[in-house]
Amino acid sequence: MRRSIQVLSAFALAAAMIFAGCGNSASSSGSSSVLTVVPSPAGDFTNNFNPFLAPPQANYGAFGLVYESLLQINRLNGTIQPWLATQYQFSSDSKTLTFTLRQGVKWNDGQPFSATDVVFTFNLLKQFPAIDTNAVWKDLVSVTNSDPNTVVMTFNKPGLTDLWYIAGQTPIVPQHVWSSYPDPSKVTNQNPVGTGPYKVGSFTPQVFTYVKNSNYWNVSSIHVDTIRYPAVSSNTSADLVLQTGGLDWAGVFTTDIQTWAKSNANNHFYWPASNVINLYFNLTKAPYNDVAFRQAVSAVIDRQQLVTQGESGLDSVANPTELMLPAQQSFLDSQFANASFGSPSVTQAQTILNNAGYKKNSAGQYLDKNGNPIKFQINVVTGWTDWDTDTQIMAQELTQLGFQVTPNVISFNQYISSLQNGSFDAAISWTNPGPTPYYLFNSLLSSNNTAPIGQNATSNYWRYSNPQADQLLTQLATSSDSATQQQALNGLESIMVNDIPVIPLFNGAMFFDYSTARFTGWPTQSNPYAAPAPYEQPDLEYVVLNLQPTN
Amino acid sequence: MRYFIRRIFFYVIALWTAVTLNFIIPRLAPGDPVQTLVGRSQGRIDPRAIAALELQFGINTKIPEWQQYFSYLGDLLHGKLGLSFEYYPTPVSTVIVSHVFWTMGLIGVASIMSFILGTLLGVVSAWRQGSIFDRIVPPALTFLSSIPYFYLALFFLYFLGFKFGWFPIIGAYSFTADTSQFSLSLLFDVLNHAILPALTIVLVSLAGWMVGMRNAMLNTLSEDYVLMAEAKGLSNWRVMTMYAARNAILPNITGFALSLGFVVGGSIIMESVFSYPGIGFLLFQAVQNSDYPLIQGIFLVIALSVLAANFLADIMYLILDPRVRY
Repeated sequence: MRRSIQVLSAFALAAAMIFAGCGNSASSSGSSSVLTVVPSPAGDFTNNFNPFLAPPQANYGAFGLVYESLLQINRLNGTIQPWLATQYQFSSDSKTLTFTLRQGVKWNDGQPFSATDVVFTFNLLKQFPAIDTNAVWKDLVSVTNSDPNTVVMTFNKPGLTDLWYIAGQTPIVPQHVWSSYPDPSKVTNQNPVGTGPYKVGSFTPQVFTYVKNSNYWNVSSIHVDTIRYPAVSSNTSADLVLQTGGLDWAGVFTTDIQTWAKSNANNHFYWPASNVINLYFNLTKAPYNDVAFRQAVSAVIDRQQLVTQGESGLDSVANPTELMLPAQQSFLDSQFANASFGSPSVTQAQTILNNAGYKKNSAGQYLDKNGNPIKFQINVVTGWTDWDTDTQIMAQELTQLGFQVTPNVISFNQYISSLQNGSFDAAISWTNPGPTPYYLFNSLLSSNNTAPIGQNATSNYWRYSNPQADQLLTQLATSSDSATQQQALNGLESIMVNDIPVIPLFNGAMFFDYSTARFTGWPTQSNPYAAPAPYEQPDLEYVVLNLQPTN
Repeated sequence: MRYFIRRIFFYVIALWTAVTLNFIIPRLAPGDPVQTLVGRSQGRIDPRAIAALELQFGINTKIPEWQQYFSYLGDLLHGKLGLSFEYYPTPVSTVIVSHVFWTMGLIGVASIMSFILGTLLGVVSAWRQGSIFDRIVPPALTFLSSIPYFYLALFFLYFLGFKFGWFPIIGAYSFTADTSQFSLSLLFDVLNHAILPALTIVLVSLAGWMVGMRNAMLNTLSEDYVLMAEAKGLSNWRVMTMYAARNAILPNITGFALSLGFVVGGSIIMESVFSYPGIGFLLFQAVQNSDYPLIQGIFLVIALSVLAANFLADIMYLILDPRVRY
C-alpha cells in the first residue's frame, strides 16, 4: 500500500506544479489575442493544409484563412462580397464570365498574386479531376487571362449557377508552388503559401495554430493575432470544454446550449436555419406516389411537437415552400407570403384520404388500392437521437391516422445505401442547400439527379421526376433576368406546396456557439453578415476579419 | 523443438487467416465510403463532389476482387497499408504510428501497474487469508471492476475533472503546451493528462489480477513444500515470495503476456470519454466513416500484436514451466 501512496503523492505534486504553471501562462497571455475554435469534433489532426480536400481530411481554415476565393458568397442569403476579384461580369448569354482581380495582392511568401495563378488553379482542377470537388469542369470550357488582372471563363451552357462553385468555393493557389506538385490530390501541403490573412503557426496532432500574415492585402482588418484549434474527439468533450469557458467559437451541437448561454452573460448562440429536414417517400411505389396520400401525411404531422420534443426547441418549423426563412425571404413568392403549416388535424387528413377513395378495414386501418393495409417503416439512423425521437413521434401520429407505421432505426451505412439505391419506403433526411434556393431545389427535384431503383442516385433519392420541375430549374439556371428567375422560383415553390414531392418538417440549424468574453463583432440574428459556423469554408475568414479583441 | 515448430506453423496459418478476413470483412459491410462521407456531411459536401472523391479514394475502379486481393497481399509484404480516406492523403501507417504511441504509453503503463499492484495485493490477501485486509480489499475491488467502465470513467471525468477541476478533461496534453521540444513541464503536462484515464483503467482491471493471484496462491499455500519451508524455519517473507508466490504466479504471467497483445488495440471507451488520441478511438472513427484502409491497418496491427503476445506467452511458458518442454 505504501507504494501506491508514494505514487499518488508524486502525482499530486506534479498536478500542483502544473496548476501553478497554468496560472502564470494565463496572466501573461493578455497582450496578444488568441481565438480558440472548435469547428466540429473530429478527433486528432493530421498535418494537412491542402485546401482542395474537405475537412477533416485537411484542416479547417486551410481554405479561408490561408487560401482565399475570388468572391465571398454568403451561403445563407446569397449576398456577394468582392474578394480576390473586385468585379465579375457575365456576358449577355451568360456563357462568358469575366473577373477583374484585386491589385497589390501578395502570397504570404512575398511573391505577387496575378491572373496567371487563377488560370493555373482552374487548369489544375481540369488536369486532376480528383481535386475538382465542385465539378466545375462539367460546365467550363476554358479559363484564360487577357491581362495580369483579368480572367475570362467560358461555359458550355449559361454559367450563372456555377458562380457559387467557381468564385465562392474554389481556393486559389500559387502557380510557383503548386506547379511542382506531381499530384495535388496527394499533397499534404504542410507549409501552405496563400493570399489569406493567416499562415500556419505550429502544428501537433492535438492542437495547431494560425498566425497573422503581415503581407495580407487587407492587413488593417486583422485584429486576431493567433487562431488556435484544439483537437476534440466528441460532442460530449466539446460540450465540457465549452462549459469551462475555454472556447471562443464553436460549431458544436449540444442540447443544453440554452443552459450554457444563460450561465454567463458572455455566452451566446445563434443557430440560423441552414438545411431543411424532410420526410421522404419512395415516389416509385404506391401509395406514396399519390399526392393525396402525401397531403394526408403532411396534414397529420405535428411539426411543432417535433421541434419541441425531438429538437429541444432549437430548430424552427419548415416553410411549405421549402425556403429557409428569414434568410431566403427575398426569394419567396408573394402568394406564399403567409404560407405555413396549419395545426395538425386527423379529421382533415381523413377527409383527404376518403375523397381520394381510400377505404378502411374493420380494424380501422386504411387500405391501399389492392385492399392491403398500408404499412411502412420510416428509416432513421441509430444514435441520431433527435431524429430517432422525431421518427417515433411521426410513426405514432401516422398510426393514429390509420396507417401501420414503425421507425426503422438502422446504421448510417445501411441508411444511406438504402436511400441511394431506392430500397426504402420512407425516411427522414436532409437537403443540399446553397446560397440561393436553386441548389436545394435542383438536388431535391431534378430528374438529372435521380437514377432507376437499384442504381445509386446522386441526390434525388426519392426519384421525383416532373418535366415541369426540370423545365423550371433550367429556366432558373439559365436566365440572368431577375424577374424570369423569380417566375421560375414561384413555379418551383408552387410545386412544393401543391405536389408535395417531399414533406418539409423543420429547418436544421447551423451550429454557432460563441463567447464575447475575449472577442466581439460576431454575426448575429440582426446582423447576419456571414454564415457564422466555424466549419463553413471560406466563410470563417469573413467572420474572423470582423472580430475585435475586447481588451 | 518439435513443439516450437508446431507453434510457428500455427502462427503462420493464423496470420494468413487474419489478413484474409481483414480483406473480406470491410467489403461485406454495406455502404460506400464516398457516399458515406458525402452523406455524413448532411448537405455540407455538395453531391457534385462524388466523382472527385471516388477518384481520390480509388474506388469503383471495377478491378476484380481476386486481383484486389493479390495486390493487397503484395502491398502488405512491402509494408504498404494504403492511404486513409478520412485523413486523405496521409498514409495509414503514419496515422497509426502517430496514435499508437499514446495508446501504448497510457494503456501499457496502466496495464503494467495494474498487473503488479493486483498481483501483490493477491499475494498479501492469500497470505493473510481471513484477515481484515482479505475480507475488505478483494470484494471492494471486485465491486469496482463490476461497474461498467463507461460509467466509472464518466463519473471520474465529471467530478474530478469537470466539477472540481483537479484534472484536465480532454486530450493527452494541454492546448497551450509547447510540444516542439521535450521539456520537464511538457512531461508533467502529459502525466497530468494521463492520471485520470490511467486511474480508471487500473481500478477496473485490478480485481482480475488480484483474484487470480489470490486463488492460485491459496492452492500453493496448501502444498507440502510450503509446509516444508515453514518447518525449516525460513522467514515469512521468503516463504511467501520464493516458495508460494513464485509457483502461483504462472497463470497470471501468461495472462499478462496475452493482455499485452490487447494493449495496442487500445480502449475505445476510455479514449472516447477522455478524448485521448489513441488507436481505440481512431478505430471507432474509422468504422464510422467507412475508412476501409485505416480499419484494415488497425485490425492488422491488433492481430499482429495479439499473435506476438501469444507467442511471447508460449515462450514464457516454455521457460517458466519445464513440464511443457518434455
